[in-house]
This record gives sequence, C-alpha cells and structure tokens, in this order.
Amino acid sequence: MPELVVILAINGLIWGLIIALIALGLSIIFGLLDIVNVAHGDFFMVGTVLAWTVISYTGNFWLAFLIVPLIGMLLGCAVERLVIKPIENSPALSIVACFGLSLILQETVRATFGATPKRILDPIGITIPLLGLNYQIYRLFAAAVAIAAIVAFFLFLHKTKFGTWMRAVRQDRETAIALGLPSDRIFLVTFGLGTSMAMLGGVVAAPITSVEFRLGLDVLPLCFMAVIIGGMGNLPGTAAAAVLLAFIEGIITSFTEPTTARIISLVIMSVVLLVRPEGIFARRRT
Amino acid sequence: MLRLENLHAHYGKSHILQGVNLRIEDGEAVALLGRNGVGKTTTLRTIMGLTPPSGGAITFANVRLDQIPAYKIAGLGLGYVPQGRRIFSSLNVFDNLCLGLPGTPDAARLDEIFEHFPVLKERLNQEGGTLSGGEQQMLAIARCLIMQPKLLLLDEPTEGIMPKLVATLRNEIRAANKKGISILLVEQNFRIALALCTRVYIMEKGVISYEGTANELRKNPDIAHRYLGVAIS
Repeated sequence: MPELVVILAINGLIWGLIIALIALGLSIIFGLLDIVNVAHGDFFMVGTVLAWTVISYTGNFWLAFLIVPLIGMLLGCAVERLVIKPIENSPALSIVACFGLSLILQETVRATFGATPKRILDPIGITIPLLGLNYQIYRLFAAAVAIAAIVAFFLFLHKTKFGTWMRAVRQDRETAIALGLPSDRIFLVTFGLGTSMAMLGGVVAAPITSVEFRLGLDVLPLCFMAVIIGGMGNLPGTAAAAVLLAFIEGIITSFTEPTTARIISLVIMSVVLLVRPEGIFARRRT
Repeated sequence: MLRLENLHAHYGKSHILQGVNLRIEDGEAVALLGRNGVGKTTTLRTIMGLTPPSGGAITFANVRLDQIPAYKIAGLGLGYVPQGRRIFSSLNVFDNLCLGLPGTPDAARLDEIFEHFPVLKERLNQEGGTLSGGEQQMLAIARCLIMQPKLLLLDEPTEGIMPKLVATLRNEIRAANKKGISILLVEQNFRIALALCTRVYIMEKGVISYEGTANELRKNPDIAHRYLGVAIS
C-alpha cells in the first residue's frame, strides 16, 4: 500500500506537469486576449486524437510528437482569425463562441474518430523497477518534455522581443498599442502558442491516458483551478498550482475514487478563494 | 502636420468630443488647456486610435489616422505619453525603453537618451514599477523619444511630480521641441504650458472655445481667468 501511494503521487506529479503546460496556454490566452477559452481542454483532446491518428497511419509516435504541436499552432492561428478576432471586443460573445467551438471539436471527433476510448501503446516500452513495481520510462520522458516545454515557454517570454511584447500587452494592452506594438500579430501568435501547448500536452499525455472525445472535459476544470489557485495572471503560480493540485489528487486517488479527489480539489480551491482571493502564489502588486 | 477636423467621440452615450478642430504645424509646440473633464485626454486618445472617433477626421502627414489600426499610428511618428505614465511595472527599464522598437537600438541612440535622462541608465535592470513617479515620467517620455517621433503628445506630464523634477521634465520637453519634434501638451499647470508652447487651445465641453498665442494669453490674464478659472501672476 505505501508503495502504491508513492507511485500514484509520482504519477500525479507527472500529470501535474502536463496540466501545468496546458494551463499556461490557457492563462496567456486569457491574459492577453481577455478570452475565457472553454475549448482549451478540447484542443488538448484533439492533440491526443491526432497523436492516435498519426500513430495508426505511420506507426510512429515520434512523428506525432513533432507534428501535432505544429498543427496546434496552425489550428490556433486559424481559430483566432476566424472565430476570436471577429468578436474581439465582446467578452460575453467570446465565451459563447468558445463554448460552440468546444462542442464542434468534440462532436467532430466523435463523428470521425468514434466514441469508444482507445489506447496508445507505450512508445518507449521499457520499464524500470520502482518500489517493487515496473514503472514506465515513458512517464519520466513525459515529465521531462513538459518541464522542457514550460522552461522554453518562460525563456521565450522573458528573453525574446516578442515575449517582451506579449508581457507588455498582457499588462497594459492600450499603452502597448499606443507604442506601436503589432497587437494583431501578438494576439494571433498568443492564441496559436496557447493552442499548441495544449496539443503538445495532448500528444505527451496520449500514451498514459485513454484517447476519447470527452477527454477535454476532465482536463479543463483542473486547468482553471490551477489558474485560479495560482493567482489570475500569475504564470509561475499557475504552473506550481497545477503540479500541486494533480499531485494531491494523485495521492487522494490511492485512497478513494477519482471523483472524491476532484471534490477535494474543488474544496481546496474554494478555501483558497476565501482566504487568498488573489491566489496562493500571488506576489505583492506594484 | 496634424489636423483634427470636426472630431466627435462618444463613451457609451455621453458625447465627449463635440466637433474639435485643431491643427499643429511642423516643429510647433501647442498646448491644449481646459478644466477637468472637458475632453482633453479623450482628444489625445482619439488621435492615438485608443478611443474610436464617432465622426470627423484626423490627418497626420497626409494619412487618415481614423482609418488605420491603432497600433500602426506610432510607426507614423507619433509618440504618446499617457496620463499617469503607464509604465510597464513588471518589465525592466531597458525593456520599457526599447519596447516600441523592433529590435535593440544602436548604442548611439541609447547614449543620446541617457544624455538627457541619466537616471534611466543607472536603473536599466530595475523593474519599471520600482521607479519614482518622476523617473517613470522620464521613462514614459524617453520610450517615445527613442522611437524618434515627429510629434509628441503629452498628457499632464508634470502631474504629481516633485517640483524639483518638474523643471527637468520641462527642459527635456523643450529640448525635444528644439530638435524639431512637434509637441501637443495637455497640461493643468498653466505656467508650464505657457513656458513651453507658442500657441494655445482652450477646450470647453468637448469643443475648442479659444485659440490664440501664448503671448496673447500672457497679455490678457482675464482670458485664462474666464476659461480656466486660473490667475496668471
């Protein structure tokens, strides 16, 4: 039993890193475009489905790993231009549009891919003994990819001109526009990048979860909770909260049902909202 | 160089600009004065495309600003120093300074800025939010000047600034004007406006109600008193 708890805790941690990657995508889209993208979880789901599709045609997981995030970037850019931009000054409409997008993505996948959950084989297929169990190396690889992607994301935000522009628009869109920052292009790339992060999360998670059209519904609440607990607009806080939440859910799942674990997460979020509405990792605002 | 013709703007149902006419020639320094809430800030925001006009035309160097996306306006040579400075508090001073440039500026351009604003050089790696009000104001002006604008729009640059720094800011604005940059200054501090500008517009309830030279205003203190409720001494 204690071994199982440790394993589930490690699984939770790895899952948390993947959630952190997805939640960061959600958070920058929210922070820059003022859009609560309720379809974000479905982009994650589409990532897993595309991974399954690429593998079923080519038999090569690594090809999926390379091209699905690129497809995510293109898909995100297309959605920004066709769905988001035409209604950019109406937050209420954008929620309706994203909800519609969510249904379209889910139903398209159900109509083409089918409603039956499918599994992807472990692409590495090697296990290591861990506390008397055989642990998949792939899970460690997934964690490493998530960490690398998160680090790359922060480096991009802080070390490149475009990243600096994104941070500026996030803080004060009007002044950024008055200084001539190409807001059009920044919104486009942000939505593309955010979507790409969700879909990269999807490919990476595909071999350790089941692939089905409702997968986004499970991931989205966790992402939102991470954004809220980490402090709205606080990106490192969001990442930390995602890892923490999934880790806690992982441990709790070893004692009880996943549903109960989710209830406990929601209770944690409610308590955080009551005690620290600005999020547990909120910095002093200047 | 800049021409506003019968410019109207609304915030919701309130009619803020009700037909503003204003022009600025090359190299001119012009003040836009008026009591609180008459539409001075809205005039500047409308020029920069941040508040869409509901009528009229804005022409800058033969380009209709009201017909292009807001983010393209700065690139035509307009620098905007907004009210309250609006420095990016989580970006460091260097990133704030160079934000509007496509890449990093060459050393000569940076040196020229530091010559005028030496305090910024000392604080390059500090977050914008940690600067004092006066330093933030210098940064807000410097981040426009580094883009080598043709016209600088300044919204109450001396508001809430230590008196000692007000003189510095005034000198730097004058220096920019001497270099040929036109100025449109919205200012509550009447004396600074008269000291910097050669021509003055006074706004009342969304329209220009007085237009004249700074000299005329100096000679006729009753004008300032009537329109602005201030006494010049």
